[in-house]
Amino acid sequence: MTDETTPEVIVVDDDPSVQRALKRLLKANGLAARIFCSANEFLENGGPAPGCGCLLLDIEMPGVDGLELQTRLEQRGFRLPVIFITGHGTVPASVQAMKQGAMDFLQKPFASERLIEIVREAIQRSRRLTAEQNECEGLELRYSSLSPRERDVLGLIVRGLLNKQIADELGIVEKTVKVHRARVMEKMQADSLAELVRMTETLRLPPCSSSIFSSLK
Amino acid sequence: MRRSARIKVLEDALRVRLRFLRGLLAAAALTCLLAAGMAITPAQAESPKAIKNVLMLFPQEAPQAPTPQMIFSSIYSVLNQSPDLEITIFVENLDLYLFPYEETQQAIITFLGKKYAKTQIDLVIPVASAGLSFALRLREMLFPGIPIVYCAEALHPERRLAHRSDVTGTAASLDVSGTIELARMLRPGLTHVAVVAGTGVTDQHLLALFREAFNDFKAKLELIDLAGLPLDDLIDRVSRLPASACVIFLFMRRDGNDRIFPSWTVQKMVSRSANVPLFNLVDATLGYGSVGGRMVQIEAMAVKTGEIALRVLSGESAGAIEPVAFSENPAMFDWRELKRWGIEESALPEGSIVRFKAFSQWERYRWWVIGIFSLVCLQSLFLFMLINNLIRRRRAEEEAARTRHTLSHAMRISTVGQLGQSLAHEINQPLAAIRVNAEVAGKLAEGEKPDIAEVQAALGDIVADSKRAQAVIASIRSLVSNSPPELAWVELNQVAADALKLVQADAEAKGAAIHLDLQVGLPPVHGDAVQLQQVVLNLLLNAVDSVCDRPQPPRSVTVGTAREKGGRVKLCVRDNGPGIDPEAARRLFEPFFSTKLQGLGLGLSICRSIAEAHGGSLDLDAGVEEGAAFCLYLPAGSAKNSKRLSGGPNGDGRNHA
Repeated sequence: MTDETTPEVIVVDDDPSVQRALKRLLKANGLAARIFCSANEFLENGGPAPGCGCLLLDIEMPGVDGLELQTRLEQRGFRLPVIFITGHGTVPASVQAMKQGAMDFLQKPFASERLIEIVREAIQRSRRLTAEQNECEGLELRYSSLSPRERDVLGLIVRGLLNKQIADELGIVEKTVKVHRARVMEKMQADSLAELVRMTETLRLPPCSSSIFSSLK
Repeated sequence: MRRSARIKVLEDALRVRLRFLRGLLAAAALTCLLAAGMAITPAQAESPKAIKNVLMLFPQEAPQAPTPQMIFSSIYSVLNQSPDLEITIFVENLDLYLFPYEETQQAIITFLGKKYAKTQIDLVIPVASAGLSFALRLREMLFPGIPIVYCAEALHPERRLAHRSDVTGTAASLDVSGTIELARMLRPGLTHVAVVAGTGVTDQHLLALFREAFNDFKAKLELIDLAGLPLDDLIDRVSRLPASACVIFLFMRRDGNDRIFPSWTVQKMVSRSANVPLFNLVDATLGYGSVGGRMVQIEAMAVKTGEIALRVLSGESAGAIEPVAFSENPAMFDWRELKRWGIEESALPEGSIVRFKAFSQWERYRWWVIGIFSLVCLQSLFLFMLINNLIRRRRAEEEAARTRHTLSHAMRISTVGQLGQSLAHEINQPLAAIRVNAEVAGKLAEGEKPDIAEVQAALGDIVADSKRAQAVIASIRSLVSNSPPELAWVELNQVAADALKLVQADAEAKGAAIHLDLQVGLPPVHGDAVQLQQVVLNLLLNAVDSVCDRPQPPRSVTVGTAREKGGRVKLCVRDNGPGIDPEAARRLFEPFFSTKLQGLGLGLSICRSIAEAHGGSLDLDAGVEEGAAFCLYLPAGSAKNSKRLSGGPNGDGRNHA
């Protein structure tokens, strides 16, 4: 298995026993783990590195606790799936955690299979997010290679206008529209109109809704 | 018997005195010889006490019988007190009645003449009429011109005291009628009077006097004549007298069998055997079984005789001194006999003299007894009060200790309740690790090539974590358990760390950070680890609650320990909460005072009582700028205790649980 297929699981827990157990569990299930004793230690080490699968956070920790760490990571724009584990299992804490978009909330002691299940699910989600992110980035790159006229043509194509209509809209001849269209298809690496439409939809939605798309209406 | 002993002592003293006087005389004679050819010595210039010799004549029974003894001792004590005269008393017992023969008397006079040939007799004191008669003869034959002062001459109503040249003295008469009247008065219903007398001269003389007097009572009383009986018969007769009789004892020197007795011992025997009270007529023999009677006052007469003798010895003429008659015989009684016959003192005629009143121990020592008893009572009372106080104080202390124990236990239980979350966390941590490790180990063991080393590591962790969970539970149990306090040497730092462990998770959940600032090498304290931990826990929980009132972080609590002056150690819990206003600070340690809405207000007062029970104190530190600080002060143990604590088995196990 490569790093590609097995993303790291980041564990932040102040309890050495729990740290060791979690590390052992993840390793036995073919998952790599990085252990941090406190939220501060984690943040000081740069936060989640690329290739991180998910975060396992203990809620009760001295200093910055799990919930606060999640908030701070959000503020920094990290969107890794977060799984909380708690020794208290108090209702208000779990509600807040879920509200903040936690993936799941486990109460100590927990079944290890359940944890692994959730971790795998989180990694899947993480992968999907990564893939989406990667696609976004590719599409944005392609889109940015388009000339302004080509972007205009693309906008009209995905609205379903015919070449003649586009030519009328832009006040250019139909033949020029065809050339632009071919260029767009080529630059965007789209095989069909349908694919091109899906690409622009993706670009318009989060997480790709970057400023570049502001013109895309 | 006591009386006779006393007279012996007196005689001995007299003899010693005589010997001494004789020595003195010899010395004086020598001095005179020496001084013959010399000038008059100054010693002679001072007038020495004039030396006088007195001859006392007792007609009978001297010296052991009560009457002569009383006469002698009374006269002796008067003469002896003279400031000017050195008086020597010579005593002669004549036994005139036992030997009433002219030749015998003549022989005695001749003997006395030889005996006192070289002794200047200055005065003769004869006793009784017989003594006086003999003395007059003696003077005529031996001591011409010597004054005579007689004692207790019989005074006959029809005969006036005879005036003879250079003779004077005291006289008395028997009061038979008075005594019979007295007996009638004290024994209402008296029908018979038994008279006891011997066959001697005096006996018969007195009996004649009695019979004469009794003539007046013949109409009212019957006479039982016991005179002249042999002693055995007499004793027998007096024991069988009618109940309404009484005995009048006159004198008995000689009985019907011609046996001679001391009269007073016979009186005693008769009294002892008699079934009715016995009366007598002479005060000297009161006390020998007689209830009493109208008494001849021998003692008073003897004293008077002594006084007259002194006057004569000092130079007065005996003929110029009027004889003194003691004609009024007072009623005198023996208290013991009154008791014996059940005669109340209140029934006695006015002016009665009661002798031999045996004060009971109670009467005699009443005030002493009352005084000492009161003192002892008072002392006992004080002792009792002191002891009672002590007991009550000890009980109160024990009660207080029990109450403190119960309260502190209740508080610990409530503390455990408060710590619920924290404790759950402390137990859930190792439990979570155990479960994960166990499941992982199981999974690892399932594989074809199990990683034995990893399985073993997981199992090792399980063991370690289960121990950790056990320790947490043990610490809860020690808090909740109601076991009596166990005194041991306790490290305050350890107490702080243990308390912190219990509170930590709870504090974190509330967003409070607890810091330890413990001084290394702190001496141990002597006390109960659980109770001390309870104090620290309580302070910590209060501090955490207090900092949670703070709207903004940092919410921090610090537990610090330090060595104090005066052999004490302190543990302070500070917080940066809103602090305590002065009004609340004043009442903070009062029971049932609480600043919290749900607080019962017992925590701090219990903590303070625990601190005080450990010989320490718990105070609010007023000198903090922010928040509040509570400091627990405890007496520090020595370094030796510290070593024992760390090295020996005396270390407190619960402490580390």
